[in-house]
Amino acid sequence: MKSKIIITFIGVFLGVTIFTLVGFAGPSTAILIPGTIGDNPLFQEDIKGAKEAAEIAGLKEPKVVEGGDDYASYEKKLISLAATNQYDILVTFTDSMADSIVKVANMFPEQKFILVYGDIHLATEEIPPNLFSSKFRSEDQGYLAGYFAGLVTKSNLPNANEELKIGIMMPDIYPAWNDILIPAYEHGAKAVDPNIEVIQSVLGSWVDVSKGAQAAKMQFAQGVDIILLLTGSACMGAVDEAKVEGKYIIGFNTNIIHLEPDVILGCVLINNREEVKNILLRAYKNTLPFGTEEVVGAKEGVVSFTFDDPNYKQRVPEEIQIAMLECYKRLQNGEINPLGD
Amino acid sequence: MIIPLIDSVIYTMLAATTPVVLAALGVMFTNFSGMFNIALEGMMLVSAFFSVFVVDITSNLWLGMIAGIGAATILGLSIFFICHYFHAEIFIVGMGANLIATGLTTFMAVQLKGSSSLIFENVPKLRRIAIPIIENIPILRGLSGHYVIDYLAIAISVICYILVFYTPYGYHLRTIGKDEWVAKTLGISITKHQFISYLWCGFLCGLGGAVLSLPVGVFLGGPVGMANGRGWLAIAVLCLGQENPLNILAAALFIGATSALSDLLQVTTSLSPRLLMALPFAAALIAIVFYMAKEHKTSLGIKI
Repeated sequence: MKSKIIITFIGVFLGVTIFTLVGFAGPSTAILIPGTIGDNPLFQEDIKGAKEAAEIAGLKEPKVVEGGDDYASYEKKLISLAATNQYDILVTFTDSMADSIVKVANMFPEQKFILVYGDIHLATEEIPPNLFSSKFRSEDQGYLAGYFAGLVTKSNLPNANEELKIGIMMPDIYPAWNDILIPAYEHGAKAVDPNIEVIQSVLGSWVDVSKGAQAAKMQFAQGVDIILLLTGSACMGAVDEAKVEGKYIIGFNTNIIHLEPDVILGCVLINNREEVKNILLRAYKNTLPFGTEEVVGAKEGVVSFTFDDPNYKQRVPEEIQIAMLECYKRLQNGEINPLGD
Repeated sequence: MIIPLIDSVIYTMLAATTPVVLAALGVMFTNFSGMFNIALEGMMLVSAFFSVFVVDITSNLWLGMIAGIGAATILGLSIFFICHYFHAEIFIVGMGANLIATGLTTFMAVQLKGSSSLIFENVPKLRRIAIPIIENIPILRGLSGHYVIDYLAIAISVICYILVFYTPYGYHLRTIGKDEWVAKTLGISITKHQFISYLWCGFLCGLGGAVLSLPVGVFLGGPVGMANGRGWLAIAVLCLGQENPLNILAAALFIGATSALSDLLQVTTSLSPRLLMALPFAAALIAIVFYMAKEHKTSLGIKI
């Protein structure tokens, strides 16, 4: 009887071990989302890209951990994930995680880390050997959006006024936006007409929709006829206000034209899904150069515009569409320096 | 260019005032009844969630508004019952209610739509009401084009003033606020008035929450949530308004004006946005400090 029990235990143990080895063969990945997934199409696309990579490589689906809105907990969650020693690769996103990922990468030198669309140089000049960082050229995004805003404000579109003023609205202040994106936006607009003035509003909240509407009203009163909304659901209040006032909006990062096609004329996009997929596939093939940083933008096709959106094609005048495509090609060819000389 | 800016400042001031004044009037009733409710933020948040969610299901704005008011009232009455029947500390329960509101709305939003922040497409939204003639007069134009709840908030402030100062109910309520023992000897039911004050608070905070989500068809949850500190600001407004509904309205307009000024200075000057964003809160703080200093001097018999 005793021997039967011992044999059963050994059998179960071996079965579980074999299942674990077979089932989890190959690198396993965990993704820490610094925020919430549901209201952020960018993170949703990231996860899709990671899942596609795992599927192509024939690996188990990545573990996704949502950081939520408690910013202070992100670093602890990253440490916890690394401490479990269950995952070969830990992936996280955005500039806000730069400091944390460098710190945790130094704490766990055997663990591999990937930071996507985050400027690692905000945290360190020397990238740890177990960390790979991919950064998007936000200046490409800013320039494209600014060029489009400039074309719209100078156009004969029914809601474009005579004032040469364009707006930009952001939920909070970020060095990367202030130092790179906003100057590129202004530069893009001034490439259309040097007299164009950029007016900016900071809401001080990511969730206060009323504040977004009020700030937009103030910009429109100043003569602004098109505003670039830099993420944040609070900015959605501006869409509503633009609809009432008969003004225009430019979306950022993802295509939101379908929300209000008459108001949101175009969106500057990043193809983060493909980028995440490519990075992970290279990591699975051991060809990802850890200890380095990669910068991608319009040239690599990662930054683009809603050129193919049916509403964009229908509502935006053809000459603006042609000018935008031309601008994009020049940006891809390196003929334009988005931040100027 | 200046006149449209003035229009916008007036418009923004009124729009920013509404949720704050409604919540401040709500907490005023509970303060009179001797059960000061600090869960305004939570009550506005549940209202913001349920109102837009019910509108999404029913496509009826009135039902949405009723659902928001109902949700805020249920939360308010829960606080009342817990404190009244279990003798719990009102501030602790209020804090708990704020946390529950955040957790509950986030949980339900994630369960129902997969996200703590919901953007409802194709839901009916509150319409703005243009006031004939006024909408064409420069400067006064800012008074037109608001939502029905914005105008209701002003009317409710006046109604509350009459209710509190010119009706037997108001006398009874204020008596409880001044001295519960005296109220008891006069045969006034304290429990009944406390219960009714929480009904008022639920109704007013419910309206305040609905005005955040119904005009845009959006609910944004999380630790801060779309109430974004307005519940706490309402308590500051109550202090400034000295328990007089019309003064509360004036104090809320003052806070609304600083908020509008903050937005205006951002688009017209090169002052630091971070500094300007703190303006409404700094103004409230300074106003309360001056008020407290004045009260202190008065209590010492110093003529001001």
